Amino acid sequence: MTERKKQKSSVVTVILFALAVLLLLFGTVGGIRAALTYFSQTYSSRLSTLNIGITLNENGVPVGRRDYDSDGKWKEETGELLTNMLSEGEELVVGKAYDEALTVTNSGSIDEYVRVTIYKYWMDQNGKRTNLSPDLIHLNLTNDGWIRDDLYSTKANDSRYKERTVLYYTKPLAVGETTTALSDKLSIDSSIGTKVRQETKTENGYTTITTIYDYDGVQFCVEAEADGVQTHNAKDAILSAWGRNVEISDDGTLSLVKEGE
Amino acid sequence: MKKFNIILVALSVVLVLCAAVGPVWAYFTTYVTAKGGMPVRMGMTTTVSEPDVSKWTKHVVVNNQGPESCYVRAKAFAAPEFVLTYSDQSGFWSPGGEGYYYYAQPVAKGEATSELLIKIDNIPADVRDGDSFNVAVVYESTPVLYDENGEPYADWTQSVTIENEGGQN
Repeated sequence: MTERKKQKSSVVTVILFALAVLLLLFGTVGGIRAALTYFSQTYSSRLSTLNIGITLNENGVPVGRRDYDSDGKWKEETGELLTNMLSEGEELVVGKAYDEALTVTNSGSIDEYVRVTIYKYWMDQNGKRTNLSPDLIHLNLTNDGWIRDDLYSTKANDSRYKERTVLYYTKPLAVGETTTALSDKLSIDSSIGTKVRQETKTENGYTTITTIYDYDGVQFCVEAEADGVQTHNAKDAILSAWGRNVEISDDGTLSLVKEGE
Repeated sequence: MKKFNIILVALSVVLVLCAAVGPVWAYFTTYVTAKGGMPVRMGMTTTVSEPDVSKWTKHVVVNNQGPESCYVRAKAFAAPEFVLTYSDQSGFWSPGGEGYYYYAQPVAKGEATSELLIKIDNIPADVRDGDSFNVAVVYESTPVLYDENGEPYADWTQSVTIENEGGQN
């Protein structure tokens, strides 16, 4: 290689490096601009901070929340579902539909998109009973403002995600607002009474056929996880945080992108 | 010089990667979870008792000793030459499908039905003291189910059957 060619190569490398530095600087400036926008609101009104927060409600009563406070700290409250489903002394009646309206409130100070993942399963003293069907725990979905993510929810004849239902609220949830109810009723399918085996015993002229119920004594469980993510740059934020490709229309409506199933 | 170029190129790649990774850090997210559960009681224990078997009549009472309310139905069998008649004084027992007499109300846990009387009407003329007759009582119980409106109903495809044989004059 001639001396001239070597010099030319060095110049190209230096130019490329300078371009990389500029690219990083522009990226940083973008971040700084975002940060300035972000912090300038805080600065103009010291009472207002940009904190994300979410509250899960059951029949209009908060059962859990997680709101960002400051300095990396969160205000968290965790409660239990179904504690008020029965009145005192009342026993669960199979087949009867009980009120179970689940909603989400934006308890932060920025708008957000929300989704809720529902898990249904059976347990006994030894843990989860995977041989008992979650399908017999009916949480009636309203489909009012919520869309089901079929890709990551229970499908018929598909054991993947058998316990799980993933629902997206299609509108951005403004600060202080509450979603429509994603569910309204909860019941246990009366067909659990048909999941039986029988034992026959004859004694003192009495023949007793005893029916033993597979579901007797087991506990049904419902678990709900509500997730919130910022509305700013929502498409990328949702993909990054939840791993789901979505489309956001001009009016802010969220829709799910069909992916290979 | 060559080493200097390689270092510059490597630095450039790192800088570009840093520029790409930056926005991922900026997203605000949060989550909250809650769960709950409740045991299901499906066991059912019912017994039949006959407080009085006399005058060619069985007095059948079904007791619910299970943890939940149930519906009850009963019927009886005897030799073909006997004709059985059913009666009750409470008005809760009434004939229905499959040859059974149905108790109109759910029997709450710890409670019992009123008596269902099952009588042999055509007593043989040549019956002697000490002769016995045989009447088999079959009764079934099934848990009280509720429709979506909370109305109770019975599903007799989910029943527990108990047979009771015996009799005397």
